[in-house]
Amino acid sequence: MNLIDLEKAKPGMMLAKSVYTLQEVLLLKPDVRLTEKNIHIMKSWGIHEIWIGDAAGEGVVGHTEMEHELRAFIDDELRAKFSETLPDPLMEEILRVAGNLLEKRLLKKEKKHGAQKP
Amino acid sequence: MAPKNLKRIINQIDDLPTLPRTVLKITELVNNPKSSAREISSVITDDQVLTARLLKLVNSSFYGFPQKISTITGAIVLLGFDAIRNLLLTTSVFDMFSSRSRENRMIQESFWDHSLGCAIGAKVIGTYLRYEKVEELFVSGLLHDIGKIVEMLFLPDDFAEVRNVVKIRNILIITAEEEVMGFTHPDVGRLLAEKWNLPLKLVNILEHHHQPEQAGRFIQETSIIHLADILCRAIDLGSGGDRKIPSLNSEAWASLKLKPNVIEPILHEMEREFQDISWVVTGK
Repeated sequence: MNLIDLEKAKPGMMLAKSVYTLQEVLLLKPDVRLTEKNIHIMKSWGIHEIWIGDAAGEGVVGHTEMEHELRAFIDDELRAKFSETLPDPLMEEILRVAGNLLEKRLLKKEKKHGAQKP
Repeated sequence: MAPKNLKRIINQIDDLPTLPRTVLKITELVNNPKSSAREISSVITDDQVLTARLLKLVNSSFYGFPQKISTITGAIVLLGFDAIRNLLLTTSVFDMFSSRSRENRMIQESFWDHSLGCAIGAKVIGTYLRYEKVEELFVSGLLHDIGKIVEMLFLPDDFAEVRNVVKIRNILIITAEEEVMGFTHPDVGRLLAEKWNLPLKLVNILEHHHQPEQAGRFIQETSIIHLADILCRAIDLGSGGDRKIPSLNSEAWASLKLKPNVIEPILHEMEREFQDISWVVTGK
């Protein structure tokens, strides 16, 4: 779970904590997946920061060095795989989401593997 | 494809596999409007393995029926004739092409995973489009690359050369097939589908999934498989036999009338469903 600037929020991210207005009105509950629309609503209510879970595997701050290396590896592999399809905005979007999903999958595997070690 | 190459495939793959008798009989019954659920049921229940497998599939989370379905007649009434034929076809195809060679088995498993990923992608995209027969899309995804399996098992030398060219030059497998053999897996898939008397829609999807704009009135279904193929390659669900990704055909994308922001939820759903159902189809 990480506190991020609302400007860095992207559709698909999962809220980890409730979001309240300054008047303590509940705007969004935890486990809600962000959309363009609710990001816009939060901005219009003057919200600056939100808590994001790692369910969407993206926008997570505080990456370790290993996580940065992993992400760089995934991005290189994907760029090579997509090389003949770019530039195309749709393929760029597929590449972006695929990068996030592969990172999440590999980190999950890594954690599981780590947990199994004596 | 040039006629001489078509002839070459037929000459080389003179022993294309035939469907099991039960599936052929069911296909025949399904195509006959006078057939009853009871008639189809009695053919299926003669085969205990098919019966067990069908019940396992209809009770899986893929269909999500609230109550348990314990009879074949019940399954037929709920799902309809075409869906039952497609389910039996899918499970039989997996059995028919099991390989004894260890190396082939490994390649085949990654091909099947890719096909399953494509099938799930097709189902998810179909659901977004509110396509009426998503189960038909699922089967199309599962079978879209069947030509590669046939090449691997029936043209082993040519296929080894294709793999070698892919490895050395890092190109798409379909490009290497064209260069090495003069024909491609969609050509082989079409021949097989015609031999098996599969519906025209499926024949077209298998033949044109790399060029959906050529699929005529089946452009929407073929485009769904085309997109699903690209998406499951992007997130490494199995392997299509190369390390490249085909370009998204602009006419295919236009025919689907989807917005780019659906890519993210579709990929997330594919990732989730792949883990959920791979054991049901492959038994892994």
